[in-house]
Formats: sequence, structure tokens, C-alpha cells
Amino acid sequence: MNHSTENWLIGKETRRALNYLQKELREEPFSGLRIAKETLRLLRIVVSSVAPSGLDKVEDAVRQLGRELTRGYPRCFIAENMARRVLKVIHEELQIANNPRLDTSDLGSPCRNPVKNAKTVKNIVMESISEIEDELDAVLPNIAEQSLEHIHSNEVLLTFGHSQSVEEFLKSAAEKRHFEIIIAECELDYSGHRLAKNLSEENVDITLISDAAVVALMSRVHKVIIGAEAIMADGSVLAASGTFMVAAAARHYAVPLVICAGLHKLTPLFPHHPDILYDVLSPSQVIENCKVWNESWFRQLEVSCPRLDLIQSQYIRLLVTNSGGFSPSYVYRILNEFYDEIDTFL
Amino acid sequence: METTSEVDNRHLSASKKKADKTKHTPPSRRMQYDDPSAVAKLKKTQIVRKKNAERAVPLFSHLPQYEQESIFSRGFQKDASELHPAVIKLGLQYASDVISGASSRCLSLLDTLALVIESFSLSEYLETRDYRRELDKYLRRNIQFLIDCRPLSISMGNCIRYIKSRISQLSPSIPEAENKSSLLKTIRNFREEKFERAEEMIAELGAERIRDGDTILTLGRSSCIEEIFTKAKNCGKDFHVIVLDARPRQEGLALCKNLIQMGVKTDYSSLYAASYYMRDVNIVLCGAEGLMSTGAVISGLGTACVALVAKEYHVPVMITSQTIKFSERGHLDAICFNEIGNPDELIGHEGSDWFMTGVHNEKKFANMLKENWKEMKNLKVLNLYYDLTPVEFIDAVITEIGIIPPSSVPVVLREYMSLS
Repeated sequence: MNHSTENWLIGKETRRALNYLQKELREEPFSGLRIAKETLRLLRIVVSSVAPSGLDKVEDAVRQLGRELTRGYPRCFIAENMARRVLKVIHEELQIANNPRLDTSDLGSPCRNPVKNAKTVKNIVMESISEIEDELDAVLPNIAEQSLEHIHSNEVLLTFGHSQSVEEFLKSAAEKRHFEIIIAECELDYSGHRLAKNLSEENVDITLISDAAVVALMSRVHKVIIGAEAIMADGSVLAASGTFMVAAAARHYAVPLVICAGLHKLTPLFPHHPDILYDVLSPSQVIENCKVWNESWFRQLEVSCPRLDLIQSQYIRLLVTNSGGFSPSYVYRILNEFYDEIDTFL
Repeated sequence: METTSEVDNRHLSASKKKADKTKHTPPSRRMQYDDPSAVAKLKKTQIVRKKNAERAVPLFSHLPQYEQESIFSRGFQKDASELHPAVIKLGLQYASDVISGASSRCLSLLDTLALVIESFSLSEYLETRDYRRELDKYLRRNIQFLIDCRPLSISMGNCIRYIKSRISQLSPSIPEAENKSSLLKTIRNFREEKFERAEEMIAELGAERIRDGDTILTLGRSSCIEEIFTKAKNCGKDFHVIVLDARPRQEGLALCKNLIQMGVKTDYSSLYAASYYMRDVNIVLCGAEGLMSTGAVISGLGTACVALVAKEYHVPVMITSQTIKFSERGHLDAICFNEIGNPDELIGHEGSDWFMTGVHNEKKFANMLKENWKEMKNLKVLNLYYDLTPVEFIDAVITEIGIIPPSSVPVVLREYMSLS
């Protein structure tokens, strides 16, 4: 990693903040919103320290930071997404600066400086970061708001593991309606137990099952609602491993699969090859019984623990995001709104 | 999950069928545990006292619920002195999961029933009584105790039905000792034919299907599948096995141990890794608990999940099963027939501090509910034993009579029934 530090545009202090964030990214429980906010905080520091040297330099610094974050934790797309969104704002500004005729903001001022001064650059980028931050704060309420349109009285819902947006979605529906929720525990991290605990105060009937019982019960389920770790550019979704099984079961029984996720998880990458998506965790996640670890035969046993599953877009009926519900085939349109094409690879 | 009266009725109806071949009757109805009158009737025959379950999942209220207390703390509601000591021992082994595999449960049942029949003698009763009727009565009480300990599996029901039909065919004019020895001989033959030779045959047929370089995925542990792997390895075949396990019953590690000691390359993971591995898999091999007349397979929880993922990846799914596991019932889903296990198995787990030091601290959540889930009024925990794999997910069934499509189950049943 040292070779890249030579031409670093950002100072030592920022570097320390970056290291801190990289560490935080690995911490569990995974919270996409927290990562997004931390990334934005870091971007603020970078922008304010580099802004005096001009917009070009800011762009380079943000790009470099995004790359560094990806290196820190390759399968966490949220941090890069935030960098991409800030980059898009910078690109727009650069375009205006190089092409004054496009600038409609101060039409009528005849003698205008072609290159904006450092202060305005900083202000514009900071403002856009604040806007993104406001948007992030509204993600959960915006998703929860839509719950009553999808959850009706006495329905049986199934969910897999724990997701913050799904929890809020269910809670907001439970305020008005009574329904039944089957929670598959998500064996990878047992986060379903957490959801069961968090919902225990609500007016819902909860049944906790093991992941393997999902197919057995699917015929009695009206809707499957799950969270996601990333929404890919073709509308497919990355989620905790085991989710594919749930999605396939839902399709077999023609039960609609609804994904609840904020748009900060939207990634302009395509899941070309499954191998780049698989993130393998420690075998200790699989084998709980420590006694076997010391036995001689055990050393020849290969134990794999994939963290993520890819659910192709054809399994998904609806994506519920903070800007409304849409089908996976619509994702490409939103991508253009959020990101610049040239930033797909930082 | 069959009661003695059910087994009884069916063997009666089977013998009636023989007398009057044109008469068609459906298999007798399964005991429905949410029917108060049926439960009241059952209570009279039960030997171990039952308690009412506190927190049943409504969808599964027709099944016997899990008993939190052991047999001893519940106590007997009837005189248990008539029970054979071997039966009591076996019942406790069933209840505590010491004997839990489908085949081993069935084999131990046959052995124990042979012991019971051997030690039964009319001299304790009136010598003038009918040997067949008294033996039948005696067996029924003993079997009821076994059912109280754990519901019978499909193959166990079939075994008991076979023995009962043999008892009813004994001749009253022949002396007791002769009857007894002929009965014991038929049980021995039955055991040899339906289990020992069947398993050998299945191992041979299954091993033929394994080619060099194959990757085979299996779930949990099944004695038949272990035999197939042993046979294939002995034939010098070079293959790779992926063993998956489904919580809460994790039996796959024992299979891994045996495979590695055999020298087979083995991978192990949990059920959630099915889609991760499935790209490289050639065959999915799974054991079964029973095959329904529709061709659907009842087997350990998770089999349907694996079969479903295999279908999505276009990987063939093969099931191994002796014909003794075939049932004439037709089931739609895993709700019709199942067993409910201890919910605490799902809540707690054997995690240790070892994990807490890792990067991923999520394991802590497993114990989140441990202390207080029973205080949460709206929370129910469901621990199922079996699931039903629909017929369209299964490509072939390996039985001792050959590799057949699952839709042939009723045909085999009909042929085999008419032969025996």
C-alpha cells in the first residue's frame, strides 16, 4: 500500500481518520447508514483540506480516498458509493467552470472569473455533502412510510435475518395493523434473533424458525420482505448468504419478494462473475463446537463460510427504497441520476 | 407418527383387502392432535403422562407438541410393569436422541420386538387363550410406550404393520413354541432382506453412479449415503464430497470424519453455503425419512432447500431410500406430517468466548434470546424435524430394487404389497 501514499494529496491527519474508518467498516453489526455517514465525514475533511489547491485537486483526492476505502474493505460498496456521489457534484462544477456558457446560476454578470475561487468550490461541495447527509437521515423514515401500502391486516410475512430498514418497515406497519411475521434466524450471524427481540414489544405474532424450515413454511407466506447489502447495476441484490434459498423458495411458491434498502446501497457495478462477490469468513462461523478443532482429521477438512449471496433480478418483485418502490429493471435509470459513468471504477 | 390403533386398523384393512380385492379403502386417517375427542381417546391408551403444550404454533397444533419435561418427571399414568425392560431402554434411547437415524431407529425396533416376542409366553396367562391375540395385545402396549417416547417414523410403522400381519397369519392349531420360532425367523429374514441386503444393493447402485472427478453434495448424515461413499472409494473412484449441515441437528461432522479417514476430499459448511457450492456440484445425494405415494420425499429439515437450490442450478438430485420407507399416503407439504423438537435447541448454541475475539462479533446475538424468550408473549419458536421435497425437485430414487423415478413409488408399493 506504500507505493500509493507517495502522491497523496491529503494530510497525515486525514490518513489517520481514514485508517479509523477502515477499521470501523469491518466492525459488526454491519450498518450501511453508519458507514455512509462516516465516509461523508471523512470526505468533508478531505475536501476542506484540499479545496485551496483547486477543483481538479479535490476531484483527485476524493477519487483516491474512494479507492483507498475500497481497498480497505472490498465488498463494502457503500463507502465508494458516497465518494462517487461527491465526485458527480465535482464533475458538474468542473464542467461549468470549463464551459462558462453552461453556467446559468449567474447569468447577466458580464465580467465573471472563469475559475471560481477556492472558497466557492469548497462551499458548493460541502453543500452537496450536507444534502446527501440529510438524505441519509431520511432513509429509514422514508422506507417505513411506505409500509402500510404493502403490509395488510392478518398477512403472514417472512423475513431473513436482521436489517435496519426491514425492522423500521415492520414496526411502522405494526403500529396500525396486526400481522404475523416468520423470522428465519440467518444462521450466518443469528441476526434473526435480534430482530425477534426488537419486535417483541410490537403488536405482531412472531415465529422464529431455522433457515432450513423456510421451504417448509413458504406455502403459507404472503410476502417475503428482506434487506440487502448492495443493489447492483442490473437490479440484482447482494444479501447475507442463505438469502438465495429464500428467494428461490419464494419464486417456487410464487410469493412476491420485496427488498427494503436505502439508495445509498445502489452500486454502479455489475455482478459479472460470482467469484468477485464472494467474501469468505472464518470457519469458526460454521463450526461452533470447538472440541473438534484439535482433532487430527479436522485439519484435512475444508470449511467455507461465504458471507454474501447474489439474488438475480428475476427473483425480485419490488425494491422498496427511500425514493419509492420500483422494479429491478428500473435501477439503471436511477444510476444515471446518482453517479457519473466515468466514476464506475474509481 | 402413527398410533397403535392406526397401525392396527391398517393391518386389519390390509388383511380385509386380501379377502375382498375389489374393495378400495384409503389409508386410515392420521391422528390429529388438535381434535379434542381424538386426544381424549388417545389419553386412555397412552402410558406416559402427557402435558399440554403452552406455546404451540397454530399451524402445527395438529402434531404432538414437544414435551419440555423428561419421561421420568412426567411419570406413567398406567401400570408400566407389563413393559418389557428392553422396550423401556429403547424408548428412553429414542426420547434422548441416542438412537436417532432413520435406519438405526428401525433396526433397533426390530431387534427389540424380536426380544419381546421371544420372552413372551402364554403361561403367564391362561394357557387356553389364543396365542395370537395375547401376543398382539402385549406388543401393542409396548409399542404404545415407544410412541409416547417419540412418534414412529414411516418405516417403523411399516415394520410394525408387517409383524402384526404375520402374527395374524399364525395358525392357532400349532404349538406356541413353533409359532414363536417361525415368527422370529420371519423377522430375521425381514430385517436381512429390507435392511442389510437393501443397504448393500443401494450402496452398489449408488457407487456405480459416481464417476471419477465428480463433486457430490450431501446434507447431514445418512447411513445409506455413507455406504455409497465407502463402496465408491473401495472401487477406487476419485471424488469430492461437500457435506452441508442444517441447524439445529448437526450430524454432518461425523460423516466428514469418516470420509476423511477413508481418504476422500471433503468440504464442510452450513446450509447457507448451498448456492456458493452448487456451481461446482455434479450430483446432490440426500437420505430420506419416507417417500409418499405422490413421489414427494419426507426427509431431514433442509433437504428441500438443497433440492430447490440444486434445481435452480440444474444439478440432478438423487434420493437414497429402502422400499420399506415407502408410504401409501399422499402429502402436500411439510405441515401434514412432522415432528416438533425442543425450541431451546434453536435459541441456544454452543458458542464459546473463542468467537467473541474475532472480527465478527455477531455470534453474540445467538444468546440474545436465551434468557428471556419465554417472557416475550408474542414470540414462538418452531423447531421442525422434517421437510417435504416436492416430486419435481427429485430426479431419481436409489432403492434396492433399482434406480427409479419418484413417481414410481405407488407402483412399487402395489407390487410389493401384493407379493408380501
